[in-house]
Amino acid sequence: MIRWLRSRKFDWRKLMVLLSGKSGRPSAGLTWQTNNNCHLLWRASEEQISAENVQITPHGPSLALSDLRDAARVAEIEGQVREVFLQLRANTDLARVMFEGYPAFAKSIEEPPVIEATTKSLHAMPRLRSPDDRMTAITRLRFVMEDPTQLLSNSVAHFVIDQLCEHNNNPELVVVPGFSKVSYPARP
Amino acid sequence: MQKRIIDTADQVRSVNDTHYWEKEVAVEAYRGYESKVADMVDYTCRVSSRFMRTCLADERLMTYENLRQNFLEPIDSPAVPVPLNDVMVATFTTGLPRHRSPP
Repeated sequence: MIRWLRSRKFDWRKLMVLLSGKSGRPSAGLTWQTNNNCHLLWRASEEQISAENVQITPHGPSLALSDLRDAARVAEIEGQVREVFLQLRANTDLARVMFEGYPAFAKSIEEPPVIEATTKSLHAMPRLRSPDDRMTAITRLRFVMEDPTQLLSNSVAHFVIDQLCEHNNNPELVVVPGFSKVSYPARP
Repeated sequence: MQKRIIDTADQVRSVNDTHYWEKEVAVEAYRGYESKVADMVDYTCRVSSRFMRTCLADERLMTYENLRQNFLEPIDSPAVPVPLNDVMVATFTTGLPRHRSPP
């Protein structure tokens, strides 16, 4: 996916993205922090994409792969997607001129916390410091089950995306926690 | 439920070999690691089946404490040398199918 995104030569600073339809559990993936597609876009764009231009719309238009074979259906969905995105954008722009001078909403990409020796609980998914950071890797498993807002794939997705982006998108260079440095008993 | 886990593990083991991962799954990112992936899958199925059979034979073992100590997080266990928590991290990372058994 990273390879495909980069091959499109998008103008990342202007690109408008709608992450539309349900992803994972009905309660999950509704924010930048809990939807790893946002992190994927962020890293694939070399941190150029504007967070403000990425909208998560679980009730927005969705499409099935089979829709892509039908040009008329694709055009119809594109119209729906643009309409939803631009309506959201219009509200944002309108708020800024209507309420100029009042404190603004700023969509920020926050640094995730890390687990310290004294950590008992965290407000957000902790960052894996290295492939050997087993405590964090297993804590993230707990988080994706315990916090209904998390996508199950969030347990490792951010780490894998970061590893791929740091290693020229080459999976062979990614150290996989629980696999690369582990010897599994050979099959009988 | 427990029986279904054992049956599913048996089905997975019956098709799980290097050829299956190379030719049927054929995911670019697994290239060169197919044998090790097959070892991991086989290990997971064997350990899971054994744990379930042990619990079915003595239902007093059907506790979360036993699950943690002898399956998810065993320490220096010859029977479970790789804790299943580590296996879960690995399978999520490699994107291995978790909810479907191979056809």
